[in-house]
Amino acid sequence: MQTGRVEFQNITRICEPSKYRALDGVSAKFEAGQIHAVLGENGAGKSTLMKILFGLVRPNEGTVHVNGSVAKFASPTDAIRTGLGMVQQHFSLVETLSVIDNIMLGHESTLGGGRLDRARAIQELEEALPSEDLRLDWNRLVGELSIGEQQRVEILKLIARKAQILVLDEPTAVLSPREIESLFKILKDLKARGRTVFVITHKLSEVFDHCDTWMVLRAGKFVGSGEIAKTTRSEIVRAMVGADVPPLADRVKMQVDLAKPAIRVSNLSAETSSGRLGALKFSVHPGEIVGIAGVDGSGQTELVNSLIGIQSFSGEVEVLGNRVEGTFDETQASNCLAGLLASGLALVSEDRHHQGLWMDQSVWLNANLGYKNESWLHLGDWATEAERFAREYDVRAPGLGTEVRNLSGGNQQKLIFAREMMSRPVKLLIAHQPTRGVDLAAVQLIHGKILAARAAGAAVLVISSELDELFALSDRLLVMAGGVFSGEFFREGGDGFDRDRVGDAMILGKRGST
Amino acid sequence: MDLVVAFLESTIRLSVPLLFAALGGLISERSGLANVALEGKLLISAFVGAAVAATTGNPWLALTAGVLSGALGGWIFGVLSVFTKADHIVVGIAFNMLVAGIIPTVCRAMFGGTGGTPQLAIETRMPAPIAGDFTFFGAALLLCWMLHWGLRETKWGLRLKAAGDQPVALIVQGVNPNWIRVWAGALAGACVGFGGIDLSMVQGSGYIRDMAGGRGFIALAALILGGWRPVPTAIACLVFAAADATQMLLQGQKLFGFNVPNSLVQIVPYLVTIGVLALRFGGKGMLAPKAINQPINP
Repeated sequence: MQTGRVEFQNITRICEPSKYRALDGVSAKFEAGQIHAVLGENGAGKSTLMKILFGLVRPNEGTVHVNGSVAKFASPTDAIRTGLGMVQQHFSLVETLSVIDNIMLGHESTLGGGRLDRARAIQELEEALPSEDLRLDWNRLVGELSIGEQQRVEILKLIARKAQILVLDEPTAVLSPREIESLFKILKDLKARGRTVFVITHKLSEVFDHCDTWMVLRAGKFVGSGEIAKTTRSEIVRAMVGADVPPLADRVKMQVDLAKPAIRVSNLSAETSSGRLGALKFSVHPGEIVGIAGVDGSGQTELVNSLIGIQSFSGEVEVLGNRVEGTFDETQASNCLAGLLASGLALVSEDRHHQGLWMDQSVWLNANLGYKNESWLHLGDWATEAERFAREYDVRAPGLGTEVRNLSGGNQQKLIFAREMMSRPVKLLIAHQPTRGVDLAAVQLIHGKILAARAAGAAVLVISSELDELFALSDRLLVMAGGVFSGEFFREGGDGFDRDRVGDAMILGKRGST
Repeated sequence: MDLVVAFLESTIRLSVPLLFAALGGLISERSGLANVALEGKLLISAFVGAAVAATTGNPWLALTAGVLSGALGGWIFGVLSVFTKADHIVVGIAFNMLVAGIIPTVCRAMFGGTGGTPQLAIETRMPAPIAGDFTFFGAALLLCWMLHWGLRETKWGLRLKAAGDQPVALIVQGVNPNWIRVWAGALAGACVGFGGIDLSMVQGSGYIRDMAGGRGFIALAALILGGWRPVPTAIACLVFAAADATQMLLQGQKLFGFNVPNSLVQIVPYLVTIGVLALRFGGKGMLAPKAINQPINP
């Protein structure tokens, strides 16, 4: 008999003291030896359900069956012993230790006297290795590994504990497209060795490309499940967001004012430790959305940093009528950025944890950061302002005093958009990865707001690694590869947005239609 | 030539309490328990050792009691820091102040008078083979090597480092890093205890009020300079001890025919500290344990 069958029966979890039902009578059955996608919006209860499986959280009602018998785990250690393992979204690796030391930690094989038997641990690991793609240099420091490799170490830790059932929480949120491919190759190898894999995600394309079954939770309730092969994309989307999918705002016909570009760049070159830009020339006009596509690390970050004057470059950059100087120094850069914001720039940075938000501070403080210039803080106004933002952008937080760290990614991103778009008249929006790691409903809302900004006559520059997003939003699409533009595509006229040709431009740096 | 020998001898002698305190501190800090209470633990063990020797006349009992009192002090410090989730630095300062207040009180109640123990008779101090400067020094070097090896090669070293750098990694394996920190605190206290005994029963003959004289803090500086690694930390201790020895030897000496004022000579250790800080031989590769002084919520 294959091991790894999991069944949830009538699981209810009530959070104290709010009496909020995180899970409400959820029943579902999962066969062994398959890759199961657990889908749902943020806060739908996916993680809670998986935590119940692991004994991290206890249900108020209902039972979990593993391999046909009732599983009651007092702690994660118990769950590990029964063959369950979980890779959390935030890794729990010791960066200062080697790969093998991380794998051994807590379950060390010793030679007696507490001496570590690393040779034996490596040998056991290699014998149990279910996929060649999991092989790493066992003696390298974990801190030197890429995020994708660190994730492999987390999987290896579970393999070393002989886990039969593996749960991965949002495993692809932090990975590059290539790393995502190799992760799913590993997961398929695990499946081939009879292991059961749960993937918590909200990226539908991965679900369709790699998973066997799906289950959707919404607001703590079981909505549906089935086999991927017998399901269409729209069925799952409908299950995830409910019947009331907010329709994408209409794309109104805009008269693009070519005379006064909001961004005018010519001959922009830069060289930084992370990459280089070669002689870029482009402009963005009021009333249009320009998308920039490309594999991560093709120069997008350097481009944005040049536009807002926080790195050195050569060439000419003009943003909202302000000349951006290419010789970087801190004082000048902050003056320049302040000038841009005052001229009507809304800036959504790539890294919301470090650039967009002050994670340890409250929602209301974050709603007012960065644009206020008061010697005496009008905190009463700040609270009103924050309330207004939260209402308009549907930022869901237990209270305005909640630390931003405790919000879901979607709500964090909505808060940033609200602050940038509502605190001042917007003439130019630069949105870098506007919906990375954000749930579907938040994506809908953010896309709607971006289109509304365009309809109001703002110029918009969207930089994203999600082609679907760029196709939905852009009037014009520039493709970056290796620090140069390798193609330009138009929504109307020319060939339109052709997925294959855009893809070619991203990968090969081929010239597109210009 | 005599001067060189005298210099080396006093360097070695002065380094012993620093070595024990710094290496003890290393055990504690690598587990994530920030330890500014080394000074307090030096004082406790120095006093308890001398007091037991003075009352029982048995040096071995005194050694044992001194080391155990250091361990107990470290354990209490660990429990207070870890389970109250307070800032370790604040707890450490409170600990030092408490010790500085309690010892003179107890001391007066036991022995009356000066706030120190009576002078220890030669037979109640550490017996000759042990009392030689090199025995304790050798033990300190052995401790350094054991830590150097143990941190890399043993299960305990692995868990200690994990508790200090990424305690979550232990929690998910069902190991409670809080208790690792507490026991690391106790072990650290025992090591510091040898340093305290060295002060009151090997170099000194009895406890004198505040006899640690800031050595606990110099040891902490050595630990930081050594980048929380055993061998560089020990070297840092020797450098500080050598600076102190130089200062002691130069006092009242004529230098190139000049009478150098003592106040200038006493600057030497501080100059060395600044110089060494500037060179930073421990700076590369090893930074402070990542989760030092951070409470853990399993």
